[in-house]
Amino acid sequence: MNRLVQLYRRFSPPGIAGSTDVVLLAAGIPVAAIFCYCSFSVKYDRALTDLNDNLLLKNNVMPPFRELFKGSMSGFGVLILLILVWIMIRYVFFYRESKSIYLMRRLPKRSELYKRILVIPAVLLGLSAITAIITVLLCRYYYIHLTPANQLPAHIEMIYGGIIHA
Amino acid sequence: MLELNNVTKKYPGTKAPSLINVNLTLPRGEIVGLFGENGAGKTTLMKCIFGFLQYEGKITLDGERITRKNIEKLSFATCEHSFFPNLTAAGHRDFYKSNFKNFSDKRFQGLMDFFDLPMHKALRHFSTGQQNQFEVILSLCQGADYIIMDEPFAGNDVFNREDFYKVLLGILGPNETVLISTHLIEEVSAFINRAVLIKKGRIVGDITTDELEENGTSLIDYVKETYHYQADRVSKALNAITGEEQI
Repeated sequence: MNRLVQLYRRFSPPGIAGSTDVVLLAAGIPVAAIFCYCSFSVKYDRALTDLNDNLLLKNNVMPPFRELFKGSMSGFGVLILLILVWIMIRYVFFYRESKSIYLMRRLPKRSELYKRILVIPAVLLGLSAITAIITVLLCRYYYIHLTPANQLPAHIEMIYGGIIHA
Repeated sequence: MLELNNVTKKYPGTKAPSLINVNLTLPRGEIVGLFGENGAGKTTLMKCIFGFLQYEGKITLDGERITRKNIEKLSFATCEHSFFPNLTAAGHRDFYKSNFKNFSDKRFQGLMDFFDLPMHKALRHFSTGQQNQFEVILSLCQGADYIIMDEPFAGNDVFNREDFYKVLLGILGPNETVLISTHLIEEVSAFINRAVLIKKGRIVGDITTDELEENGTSLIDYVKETYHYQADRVSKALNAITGEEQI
């Protein structure tokens, strides 16, 4: 824990209070993933029920993945937006109550300023992106494996459409 | 040597430039006072030296352009303060130590003790006077050859300032140069060895205190003369306002 705090301090504006912001934003990643999965599975379950209720209808297939997945990524969208705002806040920190930006801009290491503003948000953005991809793949996996093969939409659409348009 | 050659700075949206063809040379070991009325260009000049502002002309430090390679030869104390308000004095010491290889721990400890400043209190909880002191302490301890101070004592009491001048004279090494901008002309006259006057973005006076002594002129008289200060302008203005003859 101590090591984490030290790491946080090394990559944050000096003297920034607490680490609640990072914890909250980091917690946002699983929340966004759960929201994504739940949003998709609700639509998927509804579509599957419709499908089962109309088994005798001709050309009765599952709606395309992209249609069911639409809107599910909005949790990640909000999270990314919050992280971008957070980057701004971290930059503005160097102008609050003093002009510590003058000190940061005259440090021999140019990277120090960017390191303290961007590294943690970049890590969170990276984790968000990886989690988002894993969630999409998971939803896609369920879509393909839970839907009866003869009720899946056209093959090409099934493989590429969802991922490209999701 | 810190050298400014034909430095001109014009802020966007303003008619007149804030600095016009400024030429200034600061050799090592000098304490130079930079004087001028509000808006004369003192702060702009200092910010140009650090590259905080874009400018035309050339500024060199020991013959080279100021870049990340040599910027640690310059330190800055500003009345706007450049410390981190939420960080303690000890935290600042550690930050400076990790970023400036010539940081003087001994000088830092000595000055902190002398001014009796708390080591483990966040800077935001210091009084304004203490904050000014700390700002100057950091600039003196960074290990820079050129210490640039922009009205560093605004808000400090007279005794405090007096102490600082004495400490400055006592601790500065022969190669350390100080450029200090202040309105406290009479106060600093005893401890600077050169005065540079700036008016409406132009250098209008540059004289050593030895030259002043030879001429039998005080610094304040030199400043008034160079600025064409009209001693009767106050009474004239009051006459115009009140309609009565002022003495």
